[in-house]
Amino acid sequence: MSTLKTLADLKSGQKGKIISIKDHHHRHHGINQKLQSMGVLEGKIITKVSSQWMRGPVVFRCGKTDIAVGHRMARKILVEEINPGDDN
Amino acid sequence: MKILLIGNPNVGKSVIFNRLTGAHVITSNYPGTTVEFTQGKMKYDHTTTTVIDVPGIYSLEPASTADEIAVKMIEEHEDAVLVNVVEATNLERNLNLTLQLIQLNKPMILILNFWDETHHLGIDIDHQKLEEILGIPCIPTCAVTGEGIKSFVDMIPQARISPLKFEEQHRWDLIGSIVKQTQNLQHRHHTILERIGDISVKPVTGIPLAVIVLLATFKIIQVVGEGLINYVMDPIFEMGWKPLMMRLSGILGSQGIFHDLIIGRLVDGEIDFGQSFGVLTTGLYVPLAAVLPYIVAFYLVLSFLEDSGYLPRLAVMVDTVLHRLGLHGLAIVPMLLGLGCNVPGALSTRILESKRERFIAMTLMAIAVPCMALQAMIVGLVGEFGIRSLATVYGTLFLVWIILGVILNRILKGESFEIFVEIPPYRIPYFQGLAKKIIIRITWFVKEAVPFVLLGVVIANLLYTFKIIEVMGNLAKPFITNVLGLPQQAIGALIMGFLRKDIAVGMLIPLGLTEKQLVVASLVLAMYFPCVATFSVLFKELGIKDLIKAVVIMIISSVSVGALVNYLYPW
Repeated sequence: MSTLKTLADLKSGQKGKIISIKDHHHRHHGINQKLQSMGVLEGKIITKVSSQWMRGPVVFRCGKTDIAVGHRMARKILVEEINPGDDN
Repeated sequence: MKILLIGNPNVGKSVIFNRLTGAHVITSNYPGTTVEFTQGKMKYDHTTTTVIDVPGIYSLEPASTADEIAVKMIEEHEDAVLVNVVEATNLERNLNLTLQLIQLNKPMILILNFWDETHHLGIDIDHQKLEEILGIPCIPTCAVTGEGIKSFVDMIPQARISPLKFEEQHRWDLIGSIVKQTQNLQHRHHTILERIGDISVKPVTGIPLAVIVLLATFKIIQVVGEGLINYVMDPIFEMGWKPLMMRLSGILGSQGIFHDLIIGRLVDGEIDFGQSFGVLTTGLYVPLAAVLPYIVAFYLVLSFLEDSGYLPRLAVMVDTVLHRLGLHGLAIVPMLLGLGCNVPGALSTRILESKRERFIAMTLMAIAVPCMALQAMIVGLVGEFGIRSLATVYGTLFLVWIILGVILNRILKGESFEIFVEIPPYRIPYFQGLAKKIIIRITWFVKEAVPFVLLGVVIANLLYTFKIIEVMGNLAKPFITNVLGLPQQAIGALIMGFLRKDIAVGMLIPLGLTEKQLVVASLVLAMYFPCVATFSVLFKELGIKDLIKAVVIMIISSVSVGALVNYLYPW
């Protein structure tokens, strides 16, 4: 059984399928929209590449694109964890 | 005819632009905004085509000011051919914009750039099939080597409106199906550049790498800068220029007001480019021989870092620190630029989203990020006392940068945003593009700096001749000598520091200051006020109210730091 986590909680190298991206109201030009236009959509499989210490930014890979987001944003991206064995 | 180059950021649009257009390129701000775009002319087959490089966008649904402008530009140039530059190694994401462009019903061509990389990455794209589906010419290119560019130019007349029709909400499904039909992925191992890519954003390996890159950057700047000074500029000035100036000095009678303005005062019967302070001696020597070599070295390294794709990764690594200063990681880019010259540094704070962030970034830069002109002079002057004095100057500035940032972040109202940036793949910079960029930057510096330095030398001479410096020195004496521990003549340097920092430091040379006095003077000159060029940019970018705020912060911090170091510095 897979579990729901936020991108921030994934370990580096772990994969997850995006379940939802909560609204990030801190910016007038929504990050959600920007993520979407970069192909980061619900249902996509993403891989966490790294996260920095002390709640620093999170880098993840979606398809061929690497994106860095702040820690708060990473907590709003909800994913279903994919275990290495599952092979999506 | 007109063509618009449109594509995602980091798809090599500017390299293609450089390939198509000649040297005559204009970069301008979109009217009423701070968004820049570039325009040039392409001559081919006796026709001239205007090529416009539209700012990089991911989507036609604007998510930022730059996006809005890009969309406006596409609307405005109704008769233009749309050239959609696509990163072949990242087809899926790029097709999102392609499909949106197709819906505009304009003649279009697709460029599949980085075609060569697809082979290494195990990506196999059937571009004929893609052409069939999209109904527009799809041309594989490798802009860096120039491959495919000619076929693209030949195909421009074949641009056509795509017959593809689809419903908006099914765009991503359609993209998925197109990718499935045209792209074949093979399993393969990661390339070296990809591995370094991952290594440089993981904290355990990325932090040491960032430290190494920054140290190497400064070392290269120092070695190249010193090398250019010792082996190129100094010989030119000492062996070529000096004899000429000595002859001119003789013609002018070796002394007098006019002689001193042009040649300056002779030191032991000789011209001393550091001390004479004439327009044609010190006035040319300081910008061209003392500062320019470091500027060249600086832009060499920085432009390479930019084009390689390292800077977004550095931004990720320093984000945690910058977060404490009310900024996010990308603010490292304006700060690095500011180390070259505060003017482009301050202008590039536009990449920060909020007014609050821009205020913090510009204030910190003006106070604690010394430009290369100032650094070159400080290193030349203070450096002779060894590493401890230089370490004090740089260390103090760094501490001020951090402490002041933390304070500003605490007391300023408003909100700072988090980092959000695409990390592009590492790429070997395209040499000609890099060279062009470096030359543009250096030319800009020479044009901006030299007139100001010459003017500065003239004004400094007038101030001395009419004893204005003496009068002001007497007035400021209690403060300058008691608080900062400097001789009253140092007021001359503080006055000229408003105009240009390098000239100001140059004015300290003849005063014979002690190590401590030089350290204090360097710090105060670095912090108290930006040069007039930077000042006018701050005025334009911040507005009068915020500028006054910034100036008050500058004065308070420079005086307190100057006094503190004067009190504490043991040597």
